[in-house]
Amino acid sequence: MLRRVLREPLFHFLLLGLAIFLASVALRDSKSTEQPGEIVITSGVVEQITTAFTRTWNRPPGEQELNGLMEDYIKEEIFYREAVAMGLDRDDIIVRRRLAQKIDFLSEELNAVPEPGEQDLQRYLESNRQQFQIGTKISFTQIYVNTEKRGASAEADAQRILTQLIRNKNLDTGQVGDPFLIPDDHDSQSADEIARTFGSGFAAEVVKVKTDQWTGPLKSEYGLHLVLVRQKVEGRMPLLAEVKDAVKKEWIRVERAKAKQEFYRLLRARYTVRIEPAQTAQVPGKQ
Amino acid sequence: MKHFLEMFAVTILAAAVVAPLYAQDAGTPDKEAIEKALPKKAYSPYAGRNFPTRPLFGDTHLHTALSLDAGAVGCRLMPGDAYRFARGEEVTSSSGQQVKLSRPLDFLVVSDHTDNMGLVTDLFAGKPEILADPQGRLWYDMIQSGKAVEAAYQMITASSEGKLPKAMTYSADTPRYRSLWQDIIKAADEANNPGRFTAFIGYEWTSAPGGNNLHRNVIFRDNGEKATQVLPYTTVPPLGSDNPRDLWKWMAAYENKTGGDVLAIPHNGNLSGGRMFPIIEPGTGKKIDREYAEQRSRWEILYEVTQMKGDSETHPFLSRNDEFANFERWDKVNLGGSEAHRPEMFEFEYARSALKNGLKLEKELGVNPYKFGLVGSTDSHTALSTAEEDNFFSKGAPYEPSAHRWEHVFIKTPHGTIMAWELTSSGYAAVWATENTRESIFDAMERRETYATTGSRMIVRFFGGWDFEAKDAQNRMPADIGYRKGVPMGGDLSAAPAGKAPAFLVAALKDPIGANLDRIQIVKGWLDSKNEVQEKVYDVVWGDAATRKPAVDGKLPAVGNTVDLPSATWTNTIGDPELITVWKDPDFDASQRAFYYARVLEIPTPRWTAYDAKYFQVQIPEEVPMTQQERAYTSPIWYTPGK
Repeated sequence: MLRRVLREPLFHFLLLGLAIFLASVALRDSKSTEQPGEIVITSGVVEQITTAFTRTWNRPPGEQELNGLMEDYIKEEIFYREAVAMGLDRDDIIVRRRLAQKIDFLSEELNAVPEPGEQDLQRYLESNRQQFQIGTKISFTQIYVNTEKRGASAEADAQRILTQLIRNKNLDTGQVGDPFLIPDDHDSQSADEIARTFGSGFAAEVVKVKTDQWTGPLKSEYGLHLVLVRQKVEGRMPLLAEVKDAVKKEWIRVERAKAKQEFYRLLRARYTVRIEPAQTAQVPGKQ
Repeated sequence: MKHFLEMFAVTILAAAVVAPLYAQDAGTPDKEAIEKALPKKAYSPYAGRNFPTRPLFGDTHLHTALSLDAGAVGCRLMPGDAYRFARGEEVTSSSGQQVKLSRPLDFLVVSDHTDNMGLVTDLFAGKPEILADPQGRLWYDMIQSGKAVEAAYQMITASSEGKLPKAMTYSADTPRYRSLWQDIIKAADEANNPGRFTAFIGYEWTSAPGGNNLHRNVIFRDNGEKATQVLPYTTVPPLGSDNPRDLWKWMAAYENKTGGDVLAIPHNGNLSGGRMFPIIEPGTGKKIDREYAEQRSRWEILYEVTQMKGDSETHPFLSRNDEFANFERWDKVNLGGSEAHRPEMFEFEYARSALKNGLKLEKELGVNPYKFGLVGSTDSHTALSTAEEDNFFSKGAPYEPSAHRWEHVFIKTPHGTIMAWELTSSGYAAVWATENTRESIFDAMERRETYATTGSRMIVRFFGGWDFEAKDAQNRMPADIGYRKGVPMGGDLSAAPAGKAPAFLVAALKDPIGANLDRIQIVKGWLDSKNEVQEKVYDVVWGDAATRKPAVDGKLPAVGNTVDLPSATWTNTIGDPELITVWKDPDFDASQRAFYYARVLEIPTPRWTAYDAKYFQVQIPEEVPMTQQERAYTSPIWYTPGK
């Protein structure tokens, strides 16, 4: 339960709010408590002003300069307070967007999701099996028969080569079949990878071939193939240790998105929204 | 909108490639699992060869929302999205459409424009420093009031003229620029998955003095540890420069500082106003010198010959006897539209004539500045590396699929107009690397063992040597004999043995889901005895050879056309799935410098405009091409006479 609470975005939010509040109080100097209508210039503020000036001019401000800068600060603070009091922040699209964005950034900070534990990752792996499943891997040798060049006799030629391959275990496979740009030997290929090389029809067939016996001919995008599947490692679920990095990356991505969404959901739940029906007539004087 | 789009086009600067990742499915299995998974020794005695057996396909030029122009016109996808898309995942495009590649790519370079990188994301977010500037505020308000396109155009123009307000100038020494570079590196390092998917760190240096495109993409062999030690180069002084010589200095400084490795790939010579492959160096007005030639040939090993802003192999004006020279031609204006093209510019814009002039310059300077291999890439500004005709998400967010995208004006200037339908659905880079890793792919690029395609994933082999014979084309394993008896694409032949002419083993296999092949051609360029450059295109092997014979004048009849426009389909009933031959140069002169490269043509297939017409059921006027022939260009093999 406690763990749940600790994970709660709203809890993080409140925590962060508290931190910001404390920080601002500290900055204003712990001694001073500002009264309404009072502007307190703390040593923190002076320091900030001085630093900013120094960064621009490569020297600290003189006394007169500092006084001027403080006057600017005071004026800005007064205008700011008056503007907020008059509600000017609310109908300015830029202020509005900037503040909304600050919350958005804040929620992102909050959702710097904690390091996942083994258990989290294990659970994620189990509930997203398909994403991490290791596909069946096939190692095979293929010998190509060019239907374009051999024409009508291609099928019979392929059968003849197949018979030779089955009868003579010592046959040099490099001496039979036709020239082909794709290599004879393919090791540890998934069905997807085979499809990328030979087309999906061939891939669907080759996964069904029994191991250690010459089979065929199988058809591909290019012609006919005699196939020897040397090894087939059935697909399986990986152990967490094998895919930990990938699972962690995904977990963080998903958790981050979830937390942001949840954060918004909680805020959203505190409001009711009423959409007024569209006005049928144009208000005179408005565009 | 149209108005805005044309402005957008003005600054479509450079290109990038993004690399995607694959979900890892390997980790640290126990011993038994390892033994079980290791394949038994191959049956074939040819096993264990260490040459590359499969080309890796990728994109070296891709932009995301971080690029000023891409972001300003609506790209919202970031480098991480670009990598995910390239490795085969489905994503939602900036216009809200679901999109996925037919097959994953093997590698990607995200190459965002460095000038003012990140400005546009900050502007959209209403960053106070920008809003405090009157001009920044004006543009922000324009965006808010629905005039984003005009604002984007004005900003792009101001940026390219170096007239952005200070608050909006994101030069390389600003904290925001630094942190973006870190983000870019992080996205690439996270997406990089050796063996499955390679994500390169890279950027585009977007130099366009006077609107003339001199863009280069810079690619790192290294990981973030080295790349974070520098900031990517920009074009605005004092920190940057628009002179390529200064970029080369930056590259040398990077390598000296970190012990790392970088290369640069120029693109869009066709929009350079005759300045991409100069003989007279722009700016100085002097003939290029040995220093220029040495530096250029050291850093610019590859050239991006085909991409969405047209094809730069050659031009009909330069190659009058080449019936396939007129392909996806963009020759009206330069990139900025500031200057109309004049025919005398073409010689210095297209790859084939640059390769030819390189021979001449080599003879004079002792170094060939234009000894480059070829790749294709997209230069998409949508973060989506799409180059296939039936899946074309185009050049920028406003041109993602919609019923009327084809009729927008892309660039409009007093000197010429380029329409959106002229955008080209192209291209990809094919690399003969032994492994899918940054190191292996980069090293293959450095030895120029690459070829360009216009989006197809056909396999192309090209070897040159002195001893190839006709029967080598019958060899069961063409690559095996090719590497044993010759050099691969990108390589060199020199000092012909007495009485011998170079012979080439050339082969192509169609894309497994693509169209059959029309023909393979070998393009030869040479420097004749009068010190003049020459070129000739030979048809060396073609489909349907039993019935399709050259005419008396030597011309091979067209392969035919099976395209059905209403359904946007074709059939593989013409052409061949595979072509292979050995060709010996019949006109060889051992005392003359030469280069040879292969061009492979597919049979005609529907162009992206035909897929649009069918899907959206729109009428597109006749002037818009609806079919095309996808093609591949290999890196050349050069011949140099002995002393």
